[in-house]
Amino acid sequence: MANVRLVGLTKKFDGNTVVDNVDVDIEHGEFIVLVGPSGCGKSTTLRMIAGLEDMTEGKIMISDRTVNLIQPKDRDVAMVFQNYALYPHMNVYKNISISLSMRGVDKTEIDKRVKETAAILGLENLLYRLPKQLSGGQRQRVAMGRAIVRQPAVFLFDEPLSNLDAKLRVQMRTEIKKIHQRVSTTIIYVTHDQTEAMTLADRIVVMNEGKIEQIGAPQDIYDHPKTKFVASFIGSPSMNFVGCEVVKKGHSYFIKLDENVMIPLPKQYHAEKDALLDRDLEFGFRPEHVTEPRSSVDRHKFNVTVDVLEPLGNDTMVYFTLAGRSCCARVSPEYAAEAGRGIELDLDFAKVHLLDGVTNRIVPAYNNA
Amino acid sequence: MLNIASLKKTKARLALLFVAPTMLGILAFTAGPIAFSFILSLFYWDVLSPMKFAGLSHYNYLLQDDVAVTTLKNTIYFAVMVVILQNIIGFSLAMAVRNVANKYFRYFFRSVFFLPLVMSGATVSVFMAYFFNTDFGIVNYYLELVGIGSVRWLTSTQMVLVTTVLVYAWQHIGITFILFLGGFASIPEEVIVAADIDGLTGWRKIFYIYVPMVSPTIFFSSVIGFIHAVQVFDHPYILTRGGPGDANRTAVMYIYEKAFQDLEFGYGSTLAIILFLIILIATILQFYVQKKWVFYE
Repeated sequence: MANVRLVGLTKKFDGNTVVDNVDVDIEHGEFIVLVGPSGCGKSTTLRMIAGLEDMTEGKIMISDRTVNLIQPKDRDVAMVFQNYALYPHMNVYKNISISLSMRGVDKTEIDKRVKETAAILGLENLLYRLPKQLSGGQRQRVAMGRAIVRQPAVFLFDEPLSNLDAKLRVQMRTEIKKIHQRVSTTIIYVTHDQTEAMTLADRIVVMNEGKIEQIGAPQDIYDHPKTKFVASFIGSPSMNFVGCEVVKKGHSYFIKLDENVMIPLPKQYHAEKDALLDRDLEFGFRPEHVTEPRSSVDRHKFNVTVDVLEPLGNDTMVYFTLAGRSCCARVSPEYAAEAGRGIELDLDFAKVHLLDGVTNRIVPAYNNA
Repeated sequence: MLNIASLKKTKARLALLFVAPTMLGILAFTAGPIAFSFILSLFYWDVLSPMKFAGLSHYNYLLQDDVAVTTLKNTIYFAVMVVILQNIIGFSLAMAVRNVANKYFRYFFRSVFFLPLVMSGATVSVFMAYFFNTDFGIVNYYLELVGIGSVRWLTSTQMVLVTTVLVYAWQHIGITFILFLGGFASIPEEVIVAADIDGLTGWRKIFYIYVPMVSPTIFFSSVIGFIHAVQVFDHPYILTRGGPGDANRTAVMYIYEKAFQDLEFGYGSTLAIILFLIILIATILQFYVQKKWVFYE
């Protein structure tokens, strides 16, 4: 059972902490995605797991065995790199088989495994070509083949799709998911692309400035982000944030965005409503939760002036200014007005968030629909 | 209306104008002397008397001239040994310096290994002659200290060419060292890392990864090194004046002796033409063989 445990994993470069006390438990067969912006420490974490980078503090366990002092080749991990890292002077067959040759595997067994792997990845007709004779997608498949053929305990993917064009990236994403379903090996996958993270992961680890911001299932992270960073990093376009305060008028509570815009406090915040008074808060909502008017309870209608329109075909993004902040809404193409014109939008109350302006953490909601 | 034909003509004239200085240079300093040497090789000429047509008699004589054959053999042996030694040592030193963690030490070693190259061959040969002196040389002093005993580096016919190879290679190691440093720097870091994970370590990593990936550097340094080494003159001349016997005599030294000491310019030119053909054939051969072992990405 290839589970992976990272305990207090820390890496410092010249006194700068680039990975800060990271703790993650990864189950056997799980597909974990480390996601975050450039420089957040996700690749360094992966390299430490592979044994390519020394850790400053902490412990890495693979299959319940501490591997801190074990050489990369003996950790039973296989790695796929962003720029493929194929051996350019070896043909596809040799690239895939070299790790087995180095481990003294029998030639017949090597041939069998290489051909099986090639069949999984659709490389049968390319086995005797050099990497330079392959397209980007084919090269990436060879890189995956090199990893798969070893049947390692853990696959490590370091931004493997970043060098591919948008269309190929989507195709390869599906391929990777299929491969995982087929081989059921633990995968730790690093990317800065939140779409990749959302589509591939069983669980996502969101990292920022060397620290883990949140770990959870993709949908859970999307619906219930814990920090402003996670809320804005996951989702595209990212969540809108507008400064606000919670005010009480009579027996009712409102979120006051500015003098002209006040919306009733959503019911998921009613349990702690008094605690929200007089706090530095921000009001967050995702673009898809602001739409053309729909007939439903728990929605709030408001009028805005369209700044910019971005037609996407299936939807149109409407950019508008709310309480001095640029915001975005996702409406149906038929509803989209022209730039400069007034438009009525409809906000789904159940999906809005309040953010503590001091801690930058999302205020926990209750009875969340 | 724009006339395409005349525009092309003007462009061609302009292009010719730009390449003209280089073409003139090549004609005056490369092709011209080669052609003149070839013509000269067909004549008897001692500068003082008028030139006299000799036909191919110089070429016939060369085949019977034991000294010429020996010098050509010495030269080829010298060049091959130098190329092998420079590639092995240059590769090893670059590999070692590449792995030095401290960047200031890396800078230091880069300078140190390159330093002999900026000295003249004559200077190097003079002090190396002292180093390798049989009776009071520092090399023999240490060999005796460790119990190996004295070696006749410059006075033995078996050892003298080897000594010259060592002196020459020592002086020129800087260039191959720098070439290999550049070659290693061009290997993507991920490929090295992938090799670590794939279990390619130690010698396997060197032979399966580093050597094939710097094969263009090995090829380049071999071609340039061979062409350069075949023309060696100052090192064997200053170390032993070609002796003992003809053991340390090289082709260029013999050309010099024949042309400028014996005033046999025709025969000297014949030797020069043969040396030129040897270099040409060796270079063509290297280019032909490289298709089988040099890898270009």
